[in-house]
Amino acid sequence: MKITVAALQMPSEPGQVAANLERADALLTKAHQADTALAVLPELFNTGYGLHPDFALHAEGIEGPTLRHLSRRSREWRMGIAGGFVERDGRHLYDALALCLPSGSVHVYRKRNLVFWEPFRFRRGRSPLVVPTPWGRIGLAICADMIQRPVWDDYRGRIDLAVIAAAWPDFACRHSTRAHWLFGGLGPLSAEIPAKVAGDLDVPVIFANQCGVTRTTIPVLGLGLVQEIADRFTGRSSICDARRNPPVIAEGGPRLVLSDILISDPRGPHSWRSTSPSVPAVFSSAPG
Amino acid sequence: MAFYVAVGPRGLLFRAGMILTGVMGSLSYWLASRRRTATLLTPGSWPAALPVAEAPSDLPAAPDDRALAGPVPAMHLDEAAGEEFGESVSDLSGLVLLDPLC
Repeated sequence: MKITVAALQMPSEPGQVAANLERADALLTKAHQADTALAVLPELFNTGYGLHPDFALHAEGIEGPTLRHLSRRSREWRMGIAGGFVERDGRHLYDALALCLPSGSVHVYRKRNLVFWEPFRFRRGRSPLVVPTPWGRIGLAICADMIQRPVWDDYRGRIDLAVIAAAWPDFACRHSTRAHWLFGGLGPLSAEIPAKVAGDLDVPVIFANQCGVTRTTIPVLGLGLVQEIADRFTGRSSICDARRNPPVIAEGGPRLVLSDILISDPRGPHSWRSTSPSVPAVFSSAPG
Repeated sequence: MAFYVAVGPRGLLFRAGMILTGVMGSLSYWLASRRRTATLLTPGSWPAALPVAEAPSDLPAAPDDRALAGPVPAMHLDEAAGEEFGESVSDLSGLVLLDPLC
């Protein structure tokens, strides 16, 4: 099966949910015009990624404005849409990635590997998530998840397509371009890891990253003692098809990355079974 | 847990830092979550309605209309495959970038 997919690379203004959603909608419209079957937005595209004092102000559930809008677009345009948001479940907040399907179902994955300041603001997710779709089984991951080997071991042989939403910084001062002494080597990995996953798991990978400036906060001994970098997100969103070489990789700045991918033998929703008790749908609902 | 890619000789320090901030962050998060009400804001109680414009109803959907999607494809990394697989990276530089924070 050949489908057109899109990685939407965009900057997000911290705390400006409405403006960010409008910006995302403009990119989604272009993706729809390109007959895209599946579009992926970056991590926390609606709230912006950075150390907010309180993400609870912008956290939402399945009925929140962001997911309501994405789900409506998905049904209206018959296009799968994945996007990162702050999920609220009772008292808890999660760095989450929603996958809205044209059928109206919404699946939510919670980031499992929180880094830097994230454990101070979010609760850690517990499970991988494999979503059966008309295009095959999709495995979800968020940013720092992709640097952890167990994440891909969980998905190996169980998915037909991997979706990664990220807000991956350069770890270099945007003024002096000097790389951070400890994390400076991590920035370039944003372009390398999706291609490695595609080859390793033999599945296409859609990687959507933020772009634009940011301030990377690195807690040293807790949030009271931090190091901050006047940083920027790497961009370099990509679509990697394991059967094709090389991958399509964007440069910095807002971009719509489009590519056709081949999915071999998609199992589809009817023949799909959860491959493990540890791979449940964290949340799934089909609004009427 | 092992890293999926080599992160260099500082990987151990990176790992130790992740564990330390994980422990301290979890404690900080737990204290904050205890103060947080368990009631989720309903959509109607959001401070502002989201002014997301309705998409035009006559949007083209046919594959032939891909040319309408935006600028001419700017990147063809694989010309041979490009005939079979349309691929492009559209420059949307009209979008506003954030101002530098410092």
